[in-house]
Amino acid sequence: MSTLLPRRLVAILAAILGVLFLVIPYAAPILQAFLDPVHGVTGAALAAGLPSGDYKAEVIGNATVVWDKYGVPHIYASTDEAGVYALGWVSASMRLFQMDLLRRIGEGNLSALVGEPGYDNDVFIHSIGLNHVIKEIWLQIEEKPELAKLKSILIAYSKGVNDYIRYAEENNLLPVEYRVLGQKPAPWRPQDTIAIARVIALVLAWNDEDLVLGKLVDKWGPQIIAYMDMDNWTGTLEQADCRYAVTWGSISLKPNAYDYNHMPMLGKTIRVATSDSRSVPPNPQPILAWIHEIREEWWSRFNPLASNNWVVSAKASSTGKPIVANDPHLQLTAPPIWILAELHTPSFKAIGALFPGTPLIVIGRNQHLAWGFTNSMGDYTDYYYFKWKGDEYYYMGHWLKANVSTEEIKVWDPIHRKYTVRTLKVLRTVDGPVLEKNGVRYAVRWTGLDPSFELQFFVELNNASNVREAITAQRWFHVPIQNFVVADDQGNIAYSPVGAYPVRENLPVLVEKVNVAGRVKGPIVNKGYIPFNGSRGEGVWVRYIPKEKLPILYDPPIPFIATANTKPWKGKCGGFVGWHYADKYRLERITELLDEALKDGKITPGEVKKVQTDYYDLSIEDYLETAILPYSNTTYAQLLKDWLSKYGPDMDKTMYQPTIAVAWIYEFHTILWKHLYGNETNLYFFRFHYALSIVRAAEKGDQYALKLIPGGSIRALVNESLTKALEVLKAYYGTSNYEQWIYGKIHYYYPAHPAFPALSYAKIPANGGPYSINVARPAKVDPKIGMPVQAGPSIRQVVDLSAMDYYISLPGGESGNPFSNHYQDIYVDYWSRNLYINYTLGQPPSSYNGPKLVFHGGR
Amino acid sequence: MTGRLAYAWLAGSILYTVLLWIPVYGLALAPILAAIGIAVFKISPGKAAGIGLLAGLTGYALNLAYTGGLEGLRLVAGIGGGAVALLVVSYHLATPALLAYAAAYSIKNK
Repeated sequence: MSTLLPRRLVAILAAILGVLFLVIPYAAPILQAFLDPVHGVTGAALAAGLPSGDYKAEVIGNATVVWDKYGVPHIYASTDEAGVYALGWVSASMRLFQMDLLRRIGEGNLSALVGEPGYDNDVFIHSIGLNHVIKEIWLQIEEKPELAKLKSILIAYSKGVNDYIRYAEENNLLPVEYRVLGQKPAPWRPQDTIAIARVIALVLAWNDEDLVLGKLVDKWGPQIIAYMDMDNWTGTLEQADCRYAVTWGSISLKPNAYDYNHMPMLGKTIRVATSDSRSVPPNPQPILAWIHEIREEWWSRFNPLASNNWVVSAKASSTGKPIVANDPHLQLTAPPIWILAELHTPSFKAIGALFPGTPLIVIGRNQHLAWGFTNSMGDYTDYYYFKWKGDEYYYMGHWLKANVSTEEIKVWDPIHRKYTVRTLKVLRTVDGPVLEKNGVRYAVRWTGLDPSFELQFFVELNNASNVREAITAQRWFHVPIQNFVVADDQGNIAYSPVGAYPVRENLPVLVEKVNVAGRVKGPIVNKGYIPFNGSRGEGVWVRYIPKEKLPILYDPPIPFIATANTKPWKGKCGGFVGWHYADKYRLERITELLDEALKDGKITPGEVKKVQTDYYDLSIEDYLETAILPYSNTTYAQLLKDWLSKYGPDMDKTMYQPTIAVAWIYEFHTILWKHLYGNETNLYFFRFHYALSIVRAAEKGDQYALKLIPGGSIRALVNESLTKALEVLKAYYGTSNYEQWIYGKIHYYYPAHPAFPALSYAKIPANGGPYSINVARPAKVDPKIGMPVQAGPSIRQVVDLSAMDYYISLPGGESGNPFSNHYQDIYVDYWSRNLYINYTLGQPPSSYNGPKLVFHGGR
Repeated sequence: MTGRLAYAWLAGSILYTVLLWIPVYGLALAPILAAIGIAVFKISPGKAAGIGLLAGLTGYALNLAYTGGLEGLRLVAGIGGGAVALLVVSYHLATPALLAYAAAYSIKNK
C-alpha cells in the first residue's frame, strides 16, 4: 500500500476512517445494539438461564419457586400475595418483552415502545377509548370493597414484575428486544394487567364481520345472507340442547355483579325516525384494512381461529369422575402466547396455563375442579353510519354535535432514539366512539367498552371448590363471552356461556322474502349482520339479556358436553346471540369419536387424548363431495374418491392425497371468495358452510346462486381451481409426479418469530387440516413456502378429576429468550409428537430438581 | 521483534476485551485505547494494523464467549441474510486495525 500511496496519507485516511467507525454507533444508536457484544443483541444470551437465589420481596409472606426440567415454575407461598408476587417475577423473567407489548397494545401506547409500526394500533385504541376504560376499571377496583382481594393481587403481581425489572437492569439481563430498540421497560402497574385482559377481550370479541358482510350486501343485495345460510345456520351443529337447559340464576349462588341499567354502552329505547336521513353506508374498506393490519401485526397471536373443549360426565368416564379437555386454537408463534405455572398459596392451589402479565391460572385445574374455554363467536360489536357535516351528525331529525376530545400519542424513533408526540381528534356519538380512516366514519358499540371485572372471575374460579361456585364466579363475566365447560371432583359438570349479550331495537327489515332454490326464507332482518343506519336510530342497544335468565347446562343427563365455536343452543332457549359461527366439522368429529368410545364402554383419559390429537378432517370430505368431485372426471378427482372411500379424510402427513385435496379446495374457495368480495382479503370470513350453501343452491339451478359462482358454472370453477392447484404443487415440489407430493413436506408447523426468521421454531411436518380436531390450518397454499400451518392448538389440556393429574402440552417453550434451553423444548419434544407432560398438582417442591428461587417478604 | 508483536497483541486484546464491558462508551474507548496500547510497542504501522485486527478479533470473541458465544451471533445472522453479522464482525476487526495503523504511524514519526 505504501508504494502506491504515501504512508502519511494512508495513516490520515486510517485515522479518519477509524474515527468515522467510532462515531457511527453514536450517530445511529440502533447500531450499538448490534455492535456491542456485552450490552447489545448478542449479550442477550446472558439471560438464557433460569434465575435462582434468595431475594427480598416487598410483600407479606415468603415464596419459593422451583423450576422443573421444562422451565415451568412451581410456586409455593405462605400468602396469596407472596405467591402472586413470585408469579409476576418469574413471568417477567420468562416473557418481559411480550408482556410489555401486550399491555401497550391495550393501552394504546405501543408506538412509544416500537415506534411507527405500533401507531395504527394506538390510534384504534384511543379512538374507541379503551385506554380510558382500562383506567376506569382500575379506579373501580380500588374503590369497591368486594374487589379488595383482586386489588391486592394486582398490586403484589406488579411488585413482582417491577422487582424483576430492577434485577434484570442491574444484571444486564433485559430481553434482546429492548437492546435493539434502545428502550427500557416502564414500571408495571395493576392497570397493565387489566389492559392485557382487555386485549384478549378485544381480539376474541371484537367483530369486524359486519363490515365484511356489509360490503357483500352492497354488492349482491341482502339475499346473500339467506344464500349463505347465515340467518339460521341449518345443517350446522349446536353445542347444547335447550331441553336440558336451566337458567344461570337458578344455579348461581349470587346475582349478577353488574347493574345492566347503567352500563355505558347501552343506549336509550327510541322510536324509528320517520324522516328520511338519506345517509348511505360508506365503503368500510379503509376501516377494514386498518383493523386487518392491526390484527395481522399485533393481535395475531390471539386470533380466535378455533378451539375445542369438552367434559365427559362422571357416569361416562372410566375413572368415575369427570374428564375435562381443552385445546384453544390460536396462531402458532415463537414464543407462544401461554406460559405454564403451578401456584400454591393459602387460597389458590392450581396448575395450568396463563397469559404472560396475568396473575392467575386461566385454563387449568385446582384441587377440586378443572375448566376450559372456547370462544363463543357471538355478535358483540355493531357499527353505525351517520350523515356528517363537519363534526355534526344527523340523528333522528336533528343535527347533533359529536363529543370531541383530543388524545396524545407518543411515538418512539428507534433509529435516532427520541420521541415525537402526535395528537388525535376523537369523536363520540350517541352510538359510541367513532372509528375514522381516510374520511370514512363508523361509530361502534362493543361490550368491551363497559368497565367490567373478569379478573375477579378468575380469582374466584381459581379458588372455587365445586362447579356451582365456578358458575357463581361468572357473575363478574362480561366480555369476551366464552363457552365455559367445567367439572368437579364431586361429579358435577356444566356448560355456561355467560356474559353480556346485547339486545338491539329498531331493527330494519332488509328483505321480506327470499326464495333460495325453492325454499322460501324471510323476512331477513338486520339483527346485527351489517352496519346500522345510525341517523335513523337503527340497532340501538337497549339492554343486555338478564344474566339470571341465560340458559346453561348443569349436570345434564348426557354423557358429555362438547363445544367447538359453533352455534351454542339447539332450540329456542338461547335467542339470537350471533350469526358467524365456526363450521360444524370439529364438533361433529368430537361427537362421533366420543360416541364411538362410549360404544366400547366408558371413556378413558387416554381416549380423550386420542380424540384431542385426531387428524381426520370432515370438512375436506364434505367440501370435496359437495362442491368438487361431482364436477370433475379427472385422474385427481378419481384418486381423491378412492382415498375417501378407502381411508376417509385421513390427513396423514405421509400421504399425497391430502395435499391435492387441500390445494384444490383452497383454490376453489379463494376464487369463489374473490368473485363475491372483489379481492382475496378477509378470506377468513368465508366459512366453508357459506360456500357450500351457495353451491347447493346453484346446483339446483337457482339463478341468483349461479350469479354468485364465477362464470355461473360450478364445473368451470372446479376446473379452474384444479389447474391453479396443480400449478402451485408442481412449482413447490418440482415434479409432476403426484405420488411425490407428500403432505408433510408441504404442510408443516413453523411457529414464526415476529422479527427474526432465524429464531423461528423448528419446521416439523404436520398431520391434520383446517377442521380436524387437532387443527392444522394453513394460511395459504403457496408455490414457494407451501402450506405452513397458521393455526393450531395453543395448548392441549386433559384433566381427570379422579386424581390430581394434569396433562398439558404447549407449542413452544416457557422462555421467550431464543438462547434458552426452554425456548421450544415442549414444542419439539411433546406438542409436535402429540404427547403430554404429566404433572401432579401438589407435588412437593423437592420432587423437582431444577434451580430454586426464594423470596423473603415481610410479616 | 516477535516478542514485541506478542506483547502488542496481548495488550491490545486485553484492552479491547475489558473496555467493551463499559456501557455506552466502551464501544468507542476499546478501539482507541487498544490501538494506543498496540502502538506503544513501536511496531510498524502495517504490523500494528495486523495486530489491531487480531486484537479486535480476540476481544470480540472473548466477549461473545462470555455473553453466549456464537449463539449470540446466530441471532444477528438472521437479519439481512447474514450481511449484518458480517458487518458486525468486520467492524470489530477494522476499527482497531485502522486506529492502530494511525497510532503506530503517529508514534513512529513523532
